[in-house]
Amino acid sequence: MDHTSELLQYITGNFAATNNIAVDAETSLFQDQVLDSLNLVELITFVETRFGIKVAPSEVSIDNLDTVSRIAGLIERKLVTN
Amino acid sequence: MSVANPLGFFARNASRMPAAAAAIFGDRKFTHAQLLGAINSTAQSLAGHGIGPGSRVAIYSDDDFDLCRAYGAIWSVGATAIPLNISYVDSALNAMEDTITPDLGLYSGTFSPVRKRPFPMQKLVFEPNDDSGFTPVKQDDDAISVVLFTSGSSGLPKAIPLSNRQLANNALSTAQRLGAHSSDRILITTPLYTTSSLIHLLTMLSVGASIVVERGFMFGSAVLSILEKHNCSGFGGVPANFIRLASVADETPPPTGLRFLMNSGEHLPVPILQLLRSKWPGIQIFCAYGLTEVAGRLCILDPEKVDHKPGSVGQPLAGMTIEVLDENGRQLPHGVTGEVHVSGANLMTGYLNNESANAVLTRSGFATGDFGRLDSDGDLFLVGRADDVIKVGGEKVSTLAIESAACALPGIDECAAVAVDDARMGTVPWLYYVSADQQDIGNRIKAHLRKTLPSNHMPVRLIRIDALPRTTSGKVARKELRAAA
Repeated sequence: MDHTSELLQYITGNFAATNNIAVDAETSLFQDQVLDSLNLVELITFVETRFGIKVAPSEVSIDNLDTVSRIAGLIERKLVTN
Repeated sequence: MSVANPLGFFARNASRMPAAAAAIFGDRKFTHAQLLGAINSTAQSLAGHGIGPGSRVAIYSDDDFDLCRAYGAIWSVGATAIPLNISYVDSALNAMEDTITPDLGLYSGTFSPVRKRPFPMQKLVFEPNDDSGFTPVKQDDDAISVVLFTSGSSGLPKAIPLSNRQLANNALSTAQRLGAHSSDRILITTPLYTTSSLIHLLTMLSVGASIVVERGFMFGSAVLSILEKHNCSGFGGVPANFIRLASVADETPPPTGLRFLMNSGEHLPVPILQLLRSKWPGIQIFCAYGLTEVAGRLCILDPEKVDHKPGSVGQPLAGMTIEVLDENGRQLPHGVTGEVHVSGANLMTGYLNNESANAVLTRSGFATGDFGRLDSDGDLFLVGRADDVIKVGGEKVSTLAIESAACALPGIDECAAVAVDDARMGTVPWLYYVSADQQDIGNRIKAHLRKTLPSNHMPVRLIRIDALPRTTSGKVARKELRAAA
């Protein structure tokens, strides 16, 4: 499974179902209130443990995290640098 | 007009500066006169329902404008306002209702009253042009104006009754510490049913200043643009807000009108404090310590001291006293850590319908459960808690509530929730569990907890271990679990 599908599966299974929101790779996770700040920490924790990367506080930005495709992009950039 | 009651703030502002901005909720902006008009028309409808002095009105809403006018209207008819956190699961709301026995429930926003209740539920509908001439009942400054809930160590929220005078005192003395004046405007991002947000609102109104409430999660850049857009002079938040703000402060100057930041709810990590100070040296930072039991704020550090006393929450507000005592109730010398006890005019008289919890009220005042030490100037440094309560996003979270919810799931042998420092959020709960069950148990725990716990209690990480570490006395060694995190 690629990163995007895996993230979508995680977000749909954990957050979107509770809020009854359809999520695709370009859904704004925060503007559409799929996630709140604690969910964000949960998601980052999942990403860090699943992909073995570290997300620094300064990387917690809308550019890196607002959509599934942006998060997948962050993971790919980090995996390349590692 | 008396200002020993919060309704007096709304009324005084509406008569002295009717056309000035009072509150901005998202894209809805209200002057002081409009706010009082909205309160009056809501009060008229409450009076029509037979609500008056002595009545208790529960509020279920995630709409901050509705919360604001409901507070004012309930005070206007002389009743007690009881805001409930609607993100709580229904069984918790039910238990809270049993404690407070409301005469009426007001609801709006995304809340829908599915369960049949033993009291009527009324939808809050706003008619913007209704400028009714409702005359408020004469305010009794010592009447109970609110009952606010705080999480207890047992996990069941405790109800705290506070008087008009206590709320007004807390707001006025906070305003004095902040050096607030009518041209100030504070941004908050937490709902008005929390004690902290309610006190932010009243602090601003007590000096004729204004408030901006923007809900929802925001990255640092979004906070900056809202501060700039509304020309805010202050931002009141919890550590998670300031951690994200610090990440943009590195490369962005502070918004033009910004004068101060105010941290409350939990400890602001010192590195974040220092980063904000070094990048934005002209901005005052107020580090506060508060408790619902004392009507909101308790201590605020003088911002002049923040560079040489980082980590301190300063000294108590006017009329309040703090002492650091040992387990036998003896006062400890400066520099020695013990439990913080508080007394003074803003201290609650006791939790409602909760005799066992009232054991924390002793001869020396209220045993806060917070541990700390005073320095030789009398500035307080907090070091931790005596019980199993942790702070997440500024709100109290009971680790016991997390554990009992998880242990209710078949297949979980034992578990322990601990607070872990998170560089992005401040403090977050993790759950360690022991289970002989199959691989999928983690997902089942998550799904189960999401259904049974308020969202701020949700552990951000679940970790399966073979056995919980224990101390020699058989207690779960939480320190060890925290250290392993």
